[in-house]
Amino acid sequence: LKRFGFGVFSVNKYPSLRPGPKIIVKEIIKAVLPWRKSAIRQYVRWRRYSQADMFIRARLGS
Amino acid sequence: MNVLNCYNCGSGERAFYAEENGFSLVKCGECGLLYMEERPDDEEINQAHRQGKHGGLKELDVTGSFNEGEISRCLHVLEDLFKGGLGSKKTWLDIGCGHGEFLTALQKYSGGKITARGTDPNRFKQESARARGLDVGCFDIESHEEKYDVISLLNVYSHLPDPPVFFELVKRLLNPGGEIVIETGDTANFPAKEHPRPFYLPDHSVLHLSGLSQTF
Repeated sequence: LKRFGFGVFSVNKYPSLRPGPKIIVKEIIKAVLPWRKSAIRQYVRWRRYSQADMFIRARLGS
Repeated sequence: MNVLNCYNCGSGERAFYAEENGFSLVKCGECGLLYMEERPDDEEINQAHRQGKHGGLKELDVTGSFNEGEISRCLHVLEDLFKGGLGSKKTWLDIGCGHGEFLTALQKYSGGKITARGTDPNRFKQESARARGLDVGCFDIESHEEKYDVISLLNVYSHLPDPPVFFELVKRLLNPGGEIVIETGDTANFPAKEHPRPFYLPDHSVLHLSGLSQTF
């Protein structure tokens, strides 16, 4: 961003996985169906991904 | 297919990282960016974005539907980013606005005081957003003349065939002192076996890490 003349003034990080009851149930069902891929292992370790989504706010010419 | 060097640093040094849907992800030996080693042609990419369907060993349908729950998350992020209000900002363009969840949150956050519009290549997403009363279409960033106080690119970076060229175009659409808001994954530092899956190849062609965000 600096290369294009932007000054970064905030980088906020959030979890990339947001496990809710509906998602967990869906992933458990997918885990037992042999033709579906489930991300349940990631949801079990969701804290590992607590900073994996990033928002950057930058201003031109600062 | 186009075989590519690193978008960020131009290095041709790379190591295999993972494979999905008939495509390979590699990690740049210089800067650590994850990117697709071979990418479909530009026209194929554009057509896939328009239709929301990407080729590969299995067809990847990425159109989805409006996600109501996403609005509260966007409101939370807007408050974190702008802490209490948008100040004197009057115009906002959301590039890759999808079904319009962020634009909806933005209207709520600003109390309807901001003129917000969106652009998305996927015609189903455009229709879905317009059905909610949002000002959404599809226009060519290169020939677009209007200027904005803020431009957001939420989960757009990973879809860009050539991020540096795109950022030059975005810069041209900003008013003096204008701002950009970018959302992207910060996942390139994960070992391949721990990386969130799926990668959604070839819809995602580049995966990012925070160390690069300020310098790409």
